[in-house]
Amino acid sequence: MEYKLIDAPLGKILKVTGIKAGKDARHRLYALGVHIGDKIIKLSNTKWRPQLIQNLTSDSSKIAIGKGLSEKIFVTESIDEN
Amino acid sequence: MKINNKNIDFVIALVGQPNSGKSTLFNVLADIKVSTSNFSGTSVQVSQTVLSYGGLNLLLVDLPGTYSLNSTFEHERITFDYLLNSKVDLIINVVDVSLLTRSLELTVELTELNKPMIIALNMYDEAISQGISIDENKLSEILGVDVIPTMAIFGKGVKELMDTAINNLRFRKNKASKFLFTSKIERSINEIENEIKRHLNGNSELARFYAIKALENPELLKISINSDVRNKIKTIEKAIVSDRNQDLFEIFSYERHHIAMKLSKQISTFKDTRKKPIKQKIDELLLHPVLGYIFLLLALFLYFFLIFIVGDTVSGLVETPLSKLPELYESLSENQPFLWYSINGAFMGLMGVFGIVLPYFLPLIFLTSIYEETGYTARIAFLLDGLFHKIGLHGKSIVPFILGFGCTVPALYASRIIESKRDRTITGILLTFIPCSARIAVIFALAAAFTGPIWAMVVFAFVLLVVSLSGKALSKVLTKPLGLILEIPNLKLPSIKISLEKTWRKLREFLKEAVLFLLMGSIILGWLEYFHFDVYVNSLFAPILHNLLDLPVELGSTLVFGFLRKELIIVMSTQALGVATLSALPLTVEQVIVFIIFVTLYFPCLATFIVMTKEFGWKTSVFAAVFSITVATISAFLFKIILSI
Repeated sequence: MEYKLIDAPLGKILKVTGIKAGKDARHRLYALGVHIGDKIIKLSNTKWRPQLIQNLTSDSSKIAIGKGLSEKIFVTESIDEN
Repeated sequence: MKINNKNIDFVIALVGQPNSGKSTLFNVLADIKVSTSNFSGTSVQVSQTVLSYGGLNLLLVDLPGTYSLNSTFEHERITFDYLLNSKVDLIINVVDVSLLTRSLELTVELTELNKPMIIALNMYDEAISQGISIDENKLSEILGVDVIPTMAIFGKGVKELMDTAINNLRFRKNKASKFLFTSKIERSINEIENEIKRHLNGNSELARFYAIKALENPELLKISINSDVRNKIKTIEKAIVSDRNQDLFEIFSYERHHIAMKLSKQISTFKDTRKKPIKQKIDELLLHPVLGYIFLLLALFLYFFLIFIVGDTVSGLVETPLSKLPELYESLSENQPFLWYSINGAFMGLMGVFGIVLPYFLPLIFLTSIYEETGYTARIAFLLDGLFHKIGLHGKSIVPFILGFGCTVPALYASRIIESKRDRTITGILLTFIPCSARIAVIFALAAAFTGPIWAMVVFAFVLLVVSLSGKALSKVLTKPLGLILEIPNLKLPSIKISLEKTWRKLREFLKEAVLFLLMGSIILGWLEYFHFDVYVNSLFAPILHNLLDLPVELGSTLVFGFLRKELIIVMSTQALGVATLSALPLTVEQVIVFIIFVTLYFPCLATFIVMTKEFGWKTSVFAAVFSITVATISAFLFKIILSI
């Protein structure tokens, strides 16, 4: 099942399936190591503040993603690894 | 020994991602310097030092941290421009081993520059604590450059790094191996590279880099490309984009990502320690939806309390002896009044710099550096982003805003922590509305004499409303914000020594760049006073002050003195209206409230104007001045109407 990042479950391993944001935001996400196909985990689930994710594919960097942008990033649960 | 431009043998540039420990390494290396010097035409954001090592005089340049050479952020483009347009004999690429894959993406991009390079594998201790071990020899073999493990914060590996750098510089070896993209992309690069070679007049070393950037992000290139090449790029782009269903910049980014991942797998092994590191436990508390905010309040309280306490104490200590200085030139006031006004103008400027700005500026820079080094500043931005989003900004704006209550000048400097130019500009403009300690003194002095404390609180509440509404308005006018995408770096222990060194460098920069302008401006204001410019000023302000706000026309000149130092308004208003005390001012309570509102919101002071021009450019500072005077006039007029009902 595909979720928007903002609605995705906490603590589960998620796979990034789509980034439907503008060019600058995609530029920044790639620069910070977030790409389609990467496995991530959500570390915070509070909707009124940015979403905090940790990238499991490339390294363990933590990235805060604003609320608006979290609605443009799509993920699925990575079933085999949960 | 003083070293000048001509004595420099080689230029070494430190390049790395933000928080890779690059500046720490720079500070450790700068410790072995023999002399420091600044070079004209370079950005203040590029720290440089000259050091003598291995019999060579080296210019060491610390370039701003950048995640890639393809950045959309202006301050990260400084690194790109420097590497492309300045003399660089050797790049030291600082790689954060604890974030190996992402750091290697920049390394892969740097190899495209085709410049001599060595690698500092930094934060080795952090990697070990995470169970990561690296085969640096294998990395050196694959990249074809020297790789040295370092722990910059402890000075470990730094000597080996410098010895390797000298060896590379003396024997001119080691340009990194070339990484190849997938075959279709490589063919396109080769095609454009051949075209570009014809434009570069023999400088074909950079042709491949230019070809990659021409495809990936042509806006970055400053070389002219003729229409034939441009058409070729468009044809290639069309073919590749329809084939891969991705923009060209995405394709390059994905390919580098895969190269870096492959490289990382080849050289590192990961052993799961199964033990949650203590830092992670602390971090969970710092970012907790409830406890995180309690800690934030404590951290902000400590930050501002220390700045205000130190600032206030030092300010008091400095102002007492300084205030005795006018006695030395008092005798000139009768015989040589012009000279007296000139010297007094300069004195006022000096009081502003040493009595107000510096006492707050120094603890600010030191503590900001400590907070940044620990990684807590990014956490503040994360915690407050939701709140600041409501006025079109991001969480990082909190630091300059609260500092603005002390002094606007250091607050403007503090806005440097905001990466986005748009957000930084809005923050800078809004800072002009935040009442600094001098304006707070005026508000309290006038409120105490006429209205009581309730009206002082009303003024503060109104200022917050003005900041929110102006923020909303400005964020609607300026381009849409990017949305927060912020790295939360690992927590680290700060180094007091490095923070002290940073403070010293910022102090030198401030003294060199702002003090002269401040003194000149203050002397000119002294001359205006000498030539009784107040008559003209009063008539200039009369349409606003008298006709619109129903205030005495004589108060016009006090606003000009307020531009020099806001607290002068207290003294000058009594002088202008010919009374001895504030409470004797021939003003009604309503007039005082209207005057307080105007004084609180119109542009802060000369020092703010100068620093704002330096930091944001003259267009922004002129806009901020006009905007704040307009808002001050409208607000004061509104109060006049409301109070008259």
